[in-house]
Amino acid sequence: MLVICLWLFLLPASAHCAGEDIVIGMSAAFRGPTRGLGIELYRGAMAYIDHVNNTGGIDGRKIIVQAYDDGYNPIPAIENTIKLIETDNVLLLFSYLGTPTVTRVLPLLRNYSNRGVLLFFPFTGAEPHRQPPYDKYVFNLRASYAQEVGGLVDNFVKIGRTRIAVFYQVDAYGRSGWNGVREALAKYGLRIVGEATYRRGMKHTDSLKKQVEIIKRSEPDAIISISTYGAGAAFIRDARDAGLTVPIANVSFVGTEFLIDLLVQTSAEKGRDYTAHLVNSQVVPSYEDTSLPAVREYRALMKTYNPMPPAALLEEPYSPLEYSFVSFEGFLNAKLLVKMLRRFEGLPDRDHLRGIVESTGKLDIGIDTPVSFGKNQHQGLDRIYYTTVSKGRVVPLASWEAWRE
Amino acid sequence: MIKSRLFTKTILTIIVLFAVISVTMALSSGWNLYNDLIQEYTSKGTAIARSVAGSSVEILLNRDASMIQATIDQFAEIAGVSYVYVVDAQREIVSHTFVPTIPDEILRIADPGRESAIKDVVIGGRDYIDISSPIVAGAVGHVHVGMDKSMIRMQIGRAIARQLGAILAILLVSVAVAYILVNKISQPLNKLTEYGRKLAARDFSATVEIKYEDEIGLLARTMQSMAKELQKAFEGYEEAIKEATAELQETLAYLTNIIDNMADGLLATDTSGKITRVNPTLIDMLGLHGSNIIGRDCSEVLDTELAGLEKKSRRFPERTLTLDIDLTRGRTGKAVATSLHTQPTPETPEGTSMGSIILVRDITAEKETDRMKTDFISTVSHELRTPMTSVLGYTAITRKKLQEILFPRIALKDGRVEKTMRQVIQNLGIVISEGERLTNLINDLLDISKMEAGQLEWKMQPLSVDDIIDIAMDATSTLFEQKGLQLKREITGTIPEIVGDRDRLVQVMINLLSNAVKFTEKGLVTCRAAADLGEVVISVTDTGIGIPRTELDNIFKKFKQVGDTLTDRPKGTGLGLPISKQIIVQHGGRIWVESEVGRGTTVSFTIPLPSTRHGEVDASQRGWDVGMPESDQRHSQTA
Repeated sequence: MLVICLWLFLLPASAHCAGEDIVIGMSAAFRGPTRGLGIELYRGAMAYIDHVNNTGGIDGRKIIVQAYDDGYNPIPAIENTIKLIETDNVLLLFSYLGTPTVTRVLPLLRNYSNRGVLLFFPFTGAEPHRQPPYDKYVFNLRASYAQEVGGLVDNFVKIGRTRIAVFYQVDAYGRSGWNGVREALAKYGLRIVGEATYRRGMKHTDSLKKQVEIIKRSEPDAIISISTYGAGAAFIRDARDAGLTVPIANVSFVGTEFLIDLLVQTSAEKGRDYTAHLVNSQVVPSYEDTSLPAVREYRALMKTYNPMPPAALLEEPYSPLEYSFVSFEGFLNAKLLVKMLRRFEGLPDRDHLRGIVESTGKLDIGIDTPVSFGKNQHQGLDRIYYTTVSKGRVVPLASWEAWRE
Repeated sequence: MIKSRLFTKTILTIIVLFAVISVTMALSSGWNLYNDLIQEYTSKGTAIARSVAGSSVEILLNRDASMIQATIDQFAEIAGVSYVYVVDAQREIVSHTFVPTIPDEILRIADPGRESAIKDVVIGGRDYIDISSPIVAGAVGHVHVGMDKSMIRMQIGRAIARQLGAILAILLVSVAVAYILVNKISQPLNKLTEYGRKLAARDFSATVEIKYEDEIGLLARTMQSMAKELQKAFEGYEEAIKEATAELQETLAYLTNIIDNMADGLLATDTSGKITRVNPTLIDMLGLHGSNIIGRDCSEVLDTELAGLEKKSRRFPERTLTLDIDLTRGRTGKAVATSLHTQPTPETPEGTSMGSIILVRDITAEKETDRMKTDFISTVSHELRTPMTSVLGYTAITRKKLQEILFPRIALKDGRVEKTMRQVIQNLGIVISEGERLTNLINDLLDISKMEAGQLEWKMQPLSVDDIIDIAMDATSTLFEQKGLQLKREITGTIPEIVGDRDRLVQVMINLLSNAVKFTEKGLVTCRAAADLGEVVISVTDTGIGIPRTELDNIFKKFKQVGDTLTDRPKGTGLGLPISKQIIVQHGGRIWVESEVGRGTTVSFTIPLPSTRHGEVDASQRGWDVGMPESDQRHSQTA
């Protein structure tokens, strides 16, 4: 047994240590101000994977998710990735979280390209892994930020709100969103009227008054916020406190449920409603839409398994969300991956992975639109959904008209 | 811990030294560090800018803002980097790291060209170095890296603080070390100083404990042996002083005894006229019993005349002054005042004045005797003169009558009768001349007694010296002819007028001239007169037998004549010179004699000129003897 293992180990690195399990690697934020995203992403994925493992796995093989925390910082992400590839010898990388982290890991993928290491369905809509030269090594499920903000801009312009300001995280994530807004506005011959930044790692208790002041000076009639839930909530609070009442739009990465939770808390504390005039773009359908099979499956499995990350990964106690867009996306990530893996004959290996995925074509994963992958098509979905807040809950946005200028 | 000046000085020196060193070092290294850091930052920034520029080409061309952001984010974390931003070919900022937004100052920075550019910018009051690098020579865009200068300042501040901290630490250590070392020196030094002070206060029993073997120990031992020597010396001195003091006290007691038992009164004064010593006799003489005299000024205690004498004695230290004063119980005293001074030294050629001494002798008896003498002479002279006048008169008449009337009538040719008649006339002549001599003697006696009693009237008037000499020379011309002596007159320059009694001064001149003739056998007699230093000096010089030194003192005494033997018939009265002296003294002058046996004699006298006379006149009228005392005549060669 040992000899065979060794022999298999010495083969071209496409093979991984046999046994029965398929090991996949995940580096995400399980600690820090964005840990909600990482944990929920993991929970959603694990709900499905646990279910698969419980129902015979993939040809009897279990899927093991080796997860590491990178705190939403690039250097740990790089180190985790090297570890996953060199030490844990994972089959593939899965559900990474964040633009700054993923963007810095991309060159690693290029470096390990001879081993066929691929990244699947990272939770980021940025461009670098959707464009050459790195698009080769990454398969995305979600639509891009460009598509998200493009949609937001289109809708704002349609209702006559053309003075758009951008509040964004001053890193690759924020830049990506900002660029998307800039290019979307350029289509209409418009420019961003004002912008303000914040540093990654801010908490909702920090003050963003300065940024609000800068944006207010530019007299926008809509604000697009490329942020995470902590800073996003602080911005909305400080903006409303400063008398800025225009609609504020966030993208999917903000972690809608977390954002709303914080705003509801603040509303209760300060006695005014901070949840008005908010819109959120999403890249997966609402988990309230039970007409979708995937939604029903998601809801059932989340209830059944209610998975949590290993205790070692968490630093503080975490109260999980029952359902969230993030965990739903994680769920869909896992479902799609499993579908891919089942197409293997025998033990899935890296050598054939690309081929398998690229030859998927159109696939139904139980939502209102199919996913498609191809040689030149590494992004599965293109659809954008919009939500807003009503009575403290996330609900789909019915119409933009209410905010017409 | 004794606070010592040594320590303080050392400390201050160390501190000043350190201060200078540290300030200089800090400033210089601060400056160097600043420059170095600026350079380093600039090159760091340049390297970063170039690196970003190099790696951004593709990305920019792909218009992938988020990849650029990812790239510049890496560099933004480097220490000292404040911001990084990328500008595309359209001069739009496509990526930056500014929070909360791009500063206005950045938007204003002009676009650099093809090369890297380095600018100093100020954003919101802080200083940065902006380094820009073109991407593909600026065609694709530019990278700007902002290096935080305040980081530099902070670093410099920290470096300087560290430096100063180190120096301060070293300083404190040095101070501590210096303190210890100095104490090691200053403590024993203080002990020695204390010891020295005790020695200076003659406490020779003091001890000092110093154990060191170094110079300080040596000093201590030396001081101790010095102390022993000093102690011995002092003990010796004390003994000697005790002995000397005892001797002095004995001497003092003895002298005091002498002074107190003197029959004469003694009064001593100091240089300011305060009385320093009196003896009981003086107190009794002046009636100063009971009053506290010592230390008081003469003018307070003594009467005006005596106080004046004392003052004058101090003013004329080379003279001895005398004064007749009244004493208690109707006595008369003679006060003699002498100035006291120390022996002449090279620095003080006349010695230093120490005050004066006045001796008062009770001359009541002498005075009485003198008065009695004068009275007697006066009375007797008067009683003598009256009959003498008759005798002389009648003898003259008798001779005349005999010569003219009687004897011509006795014309007998008797030889014996004629001889007898001639003899009778001769004898009568002798009677007359002797009678005249007796009359002169009586007159002179009367004169001198009047002068001594102060009863003579002086007729003071302006006189010409020439006149007086003329008259005198005329009066004595026959004497000179008879002896065949030459009389010469030598007058030097013009003699101003003097004030005096003409008859008396003529008397003096006649006296001197006739003395000169009397005692000169052959040669000449010179009469000289000159005016000098406020007085007229007149002298008569002869080439006679001279006067022996031993007799010089006596010639002005009454009845003294040269020879004075019974064999020599005295030719004069013996009162000529005393009378002359009285006259001259009355005029405020001096008279003295210089003589050499066998060669001749010069008698000189002075008459003060009118301007200087006044003070003297008053004094002389009071009877002061302001002149050379009889005992103090100058012995000098004749001219």
